[in-house]
Amino acid sequence: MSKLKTFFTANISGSGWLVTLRVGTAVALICKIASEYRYIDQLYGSDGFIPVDLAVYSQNPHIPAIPGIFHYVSRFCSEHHFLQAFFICQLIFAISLLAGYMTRFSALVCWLMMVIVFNSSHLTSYGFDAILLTLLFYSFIFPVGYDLSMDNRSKAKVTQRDDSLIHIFQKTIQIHVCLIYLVNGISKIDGSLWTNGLGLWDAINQPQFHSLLTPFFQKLFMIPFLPGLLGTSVLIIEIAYPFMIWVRQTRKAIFILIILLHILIAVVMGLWLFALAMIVLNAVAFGHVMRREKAQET
Amino acid sequence: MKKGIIIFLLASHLFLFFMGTSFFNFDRVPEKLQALVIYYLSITGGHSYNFFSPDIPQQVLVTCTVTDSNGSLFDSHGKFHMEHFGSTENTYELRSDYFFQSISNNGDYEAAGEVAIHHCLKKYPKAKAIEVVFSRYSAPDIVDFKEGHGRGSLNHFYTKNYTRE
Repeated sequence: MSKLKTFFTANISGSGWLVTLRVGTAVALICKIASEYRYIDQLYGSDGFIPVDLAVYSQNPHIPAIPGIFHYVSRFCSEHHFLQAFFICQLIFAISLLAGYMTRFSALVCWLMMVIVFNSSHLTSYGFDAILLTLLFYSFIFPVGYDLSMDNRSKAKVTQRDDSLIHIFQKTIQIHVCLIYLVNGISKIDGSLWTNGLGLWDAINQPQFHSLLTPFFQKLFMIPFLPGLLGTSVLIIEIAYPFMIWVRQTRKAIFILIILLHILIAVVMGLWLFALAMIVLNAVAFGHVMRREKAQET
Repeated sequence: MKKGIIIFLLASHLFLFFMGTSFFNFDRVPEKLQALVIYYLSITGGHSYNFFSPDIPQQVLVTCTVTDSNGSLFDSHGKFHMEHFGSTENTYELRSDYFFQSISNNGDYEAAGEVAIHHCLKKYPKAKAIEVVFSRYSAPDIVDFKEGHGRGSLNHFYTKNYTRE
């Protein structure tokens, strides 16, 4: 029982992970806005890629959506200007979150705006959007403005902070990350295409994932046993991560492997934003644990 | 007391996230509770993360052929009136591609076809006819590819037509 209590209460990584959470989340959000800004009419407009009549069926009626909000301000501006104002506003608060200025309020606004965006674009969303929403949620509920922030310049504010729950907050994210990998790793066991490597071969040949490196990877897959080895490795890394990450001796190795996996996903499939979000999540959960362990060793 | 409440709320949050995963049998949950859980997951991003599990699905490619008001498949510059969906060169193409992948996985080709036609009509307002073809891309056989004659193939499975009256 005491070991279990120690597991949940030992503060083995300090509060640096909160800075990583704040900065990493803000950067991911800024990258999303920057990559989508020129397409906001097509992606979120009522006459965009998804007609509003179809989009409304995928939206949660109890959560605001962009077309619904525009309905209330339509007499004041055009839809294009409204969309511009919406995303510029989100960008401003993302920068404010990055700097740690009015941190909790900035995180709240960014999170709520992302909730609206996510609800408005369910049909065109993918894993990155859900992970970013999770990061924003955590940025709001956790005290990410504690360190290295404009809010923390005042010494009086530093003395007011309560560090007693920081380890519990980080434990929450650690368990969350482990659940993500465990669930998806075990789900892949059902897929035979992972263990024989044909799933990866299919993926690199798909037009949607075609890149300059595709011919290189196609040649790489000609090496005997490599496709099966790579596919099985992905499976093993995801399933092993939730267990090996807690063991000091194996933590660094599995952490590096999972980061490499996400970098490979970015390079092979072009899913840069998704890789960024997952790397931020991993760095927040366990990056500072290893950093602190290394500092203690030296 | 305060600490205990916070720990309880965080544990509940993790459990709700677990409920959103494929491991949890959601059908056992009462309907009203299901709605609450889905709402909570919608605002916290706690959906079931796919991560290409159990397998990476075959890509669905959508090709639209547009015939203009003169009955021609070419515009004045000799460019073929054709729209393709299936690349990820920029965010718009990535997200439109994801739309077709997810909606095709749900079998809702009718709605997907409507979207493709809507897109074409916006780009070619004077289009007389639009043919939308859905195909699944199959990667070349790895052995054939190694021998130098492997080619990917498209397996057409759905067509939707639009004709301006």
